[in-house]
Amino acid sequence: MLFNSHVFILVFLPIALMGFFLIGRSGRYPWAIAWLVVVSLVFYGWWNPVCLIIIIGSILFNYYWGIVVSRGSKVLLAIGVMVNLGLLGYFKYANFFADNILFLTGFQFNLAPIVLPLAVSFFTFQQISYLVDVYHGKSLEQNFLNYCLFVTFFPRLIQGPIVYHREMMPQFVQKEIFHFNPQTVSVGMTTFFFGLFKKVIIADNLARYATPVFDAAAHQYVLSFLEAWEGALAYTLQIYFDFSGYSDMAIGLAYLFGIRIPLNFHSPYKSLNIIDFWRRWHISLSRFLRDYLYIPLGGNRKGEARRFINIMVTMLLGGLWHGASWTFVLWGGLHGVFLVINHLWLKLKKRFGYRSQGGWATRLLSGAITFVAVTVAWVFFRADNTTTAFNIIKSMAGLNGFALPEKYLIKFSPLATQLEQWGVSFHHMHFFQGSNEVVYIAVALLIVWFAPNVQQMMGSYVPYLNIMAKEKELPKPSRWFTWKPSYFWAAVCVICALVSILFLSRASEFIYFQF
Amino acid sequence: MPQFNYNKYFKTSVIIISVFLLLAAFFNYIVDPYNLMGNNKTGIYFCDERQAKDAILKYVHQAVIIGSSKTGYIDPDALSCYRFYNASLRATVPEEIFFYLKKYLRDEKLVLIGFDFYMFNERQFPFVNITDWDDVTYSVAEYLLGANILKLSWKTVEKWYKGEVSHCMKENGQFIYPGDAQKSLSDDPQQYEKQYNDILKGLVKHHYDKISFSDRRMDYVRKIKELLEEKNIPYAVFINPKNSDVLIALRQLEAYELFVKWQKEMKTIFPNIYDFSSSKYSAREGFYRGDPYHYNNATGKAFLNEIIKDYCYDESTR
Repeated sequence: MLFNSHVFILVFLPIALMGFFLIGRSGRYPWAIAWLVVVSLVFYGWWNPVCLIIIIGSILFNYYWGIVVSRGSKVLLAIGVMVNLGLLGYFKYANFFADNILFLTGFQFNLAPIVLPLAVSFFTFQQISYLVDVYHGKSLEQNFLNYCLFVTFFPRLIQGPIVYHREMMPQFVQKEIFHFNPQTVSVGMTTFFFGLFKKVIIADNLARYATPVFDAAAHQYVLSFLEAWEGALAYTLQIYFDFSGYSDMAIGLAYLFGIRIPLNFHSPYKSLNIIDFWRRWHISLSRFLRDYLYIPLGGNRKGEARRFINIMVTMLLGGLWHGASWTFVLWGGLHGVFLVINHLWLKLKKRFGYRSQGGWATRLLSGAITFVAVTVAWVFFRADNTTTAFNIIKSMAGLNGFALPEKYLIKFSPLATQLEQWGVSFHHMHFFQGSNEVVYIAVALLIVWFAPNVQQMMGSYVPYLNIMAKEKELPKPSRWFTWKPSYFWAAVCVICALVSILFLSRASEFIYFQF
Repeated sequence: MPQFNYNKYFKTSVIIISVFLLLAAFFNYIVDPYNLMGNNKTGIYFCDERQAKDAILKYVHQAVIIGSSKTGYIDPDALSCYRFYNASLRATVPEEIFFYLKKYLRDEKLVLIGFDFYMFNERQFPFVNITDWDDVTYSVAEYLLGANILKLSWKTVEKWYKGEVSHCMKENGQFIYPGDAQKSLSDDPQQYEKQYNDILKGLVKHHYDKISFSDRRMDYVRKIKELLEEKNIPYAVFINPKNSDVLIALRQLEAYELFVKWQKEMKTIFPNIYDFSSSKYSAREGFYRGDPYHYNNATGKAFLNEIIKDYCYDESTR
């Protein structure tokens, strides 16, 4: 079931909430938890009930293996992790490896068609973190029902955020969460509708400009400079509004039940460098990769060269986690390279004793370089294959010519001859009309660069778990952007909800749904 | 500005959202602009044939014609031998034809399928990602709570109030509106020629410039063939006549090579295909005056009856 569907918003969610609070009111808290587990499984199985077998099998294995691992055996932990990775590997990567083996050796595996279970990457990572935490004595769940809820809690089941057992489950011990609390419900509902608005109204409309460009490029259409940039920028913005919108919805939904789940985004396109970007983008995944991959690999404790290797390995695997395709590996690798360059630059600055953050011009330049680097990397993430990605990059670099829409010929008539001498042609472009899309992208850019994000707006209530590095706090927005229960904010919430629900489209899945 | 307490904030928001949604649903339900719920009393002013052509299930017919708007304008009652239902969909593509036929074909005596080169250009007509025809049609919630439907409901009421004539399709599936034929082009021959050429230029650019040829659509063409053969339903496939002016323009483009290749591939898949793209039906006069892309009803009737003749074993069945 999708958060952005009528059945979820108008039927499933009200029933789930009412059931939870009605049972909670009677004081039968384990029953309320059982109710949440049941509705979460319904939510998960809605798309394909067969997948329930896989998630339930995975829960059963990991719950019992957690008890076994708690005795302190590293070998048993390794087996547990391997089983989880094996499950992920089979469902997600078997075809990828078979294709590559076929390409390299000519040997063909005959694999039966594999249906990728929904959210397999998310619930597998979550349970790996649980097993490792159990081994280190940081967690152990004795109650099977609670463990089921840890894995299946529907607000974060499909696309995260990736949450650790030790930070989520203790919240279910508090009795207050089982009783209707107008404050948490108001904050949760508002956060949810703001997220829904980001997804339905902003992200889905940006997709109208991004998708045709990438599809055309996949069909060998040679994009002009502006068409390529339009597609790349529209996608850069689409994926942010899509995924951060989803994360806002997840945080809002969890908070309706009084539960805080991790903050996943903090205005990543405001980053002034790539290191900062990864502290703001998909924060729960970055944290998982840091805690369970980068640090166990040695992190920065084994010298500079090892550190850079560890960064590259982490980013390459992080890329592969997103999907079984070389484009994702390239995307991860590219970010790995960016991170290494960023660390080298910081080292260089340190060596020359340059500590200043720089003035506005430096900050502007740093922000621009970071944003362009991220945008270029998204091309690999979105493109169907590496050839398409490189073709788009080629166009973005101006190697396929620079053109302006035909209609600009009249507007630029005094300059037209000069522009044409400089190689600028005026002709019809199928994907760049130089009108609505420019306005749309420009407005979206202004929002991501200058507006506070939803979690900042709801900041006084902290409906999320702050997992940012060094528990850095979100800056407070101006008074106008700070949510509080008032007529004004009720009107904003109602408008966001109504507009989003009226524009819901069945065709629109979340981008991270596939991961 | 007065402060709410949280309880008031929550209740007010939920009540207003619920009331607005209920009103929207009620309005759409009562007006029912596509008459999908059977409540439309004002006249159907807007036709989305993708929503409406399940009418095939109720319409007594023996044969089906399906294709794009070009075939959509043909009056199926003017066709010989069988009683036809016109299942054509504007700007349709092979994957839609496949899923439509898969869902609605029963035991028809003949299915006529019209293909066109434009259908294979994914640049202009993006691939329709569906796994079933139901994916195209509205769910009840989408219909009652859609902003677009709300807009159409409002317009329906407006048009009904002004007493405007309904533009939709006939019971037999034929589109009532004749495409761009209504465009008023100048009577002055020189002026007309210029306007005509501008339209032609625009259409050619739209359809044939920088074609992204879709191989997956060719797969759907093969699937259509398999489906019909599996169901044992007689069928005839044709390529729509092209206006000679369009053909001249197409020959100047890179796309022409692809067009020829496509024709050959279609011939390989359907050895008995009727290819009218460059035929006696290509004369400008056989097309609408202001629309060089759509042949007129007389042309459609003529070439389709020519095909039907080959499949008409018992004229008296109609």
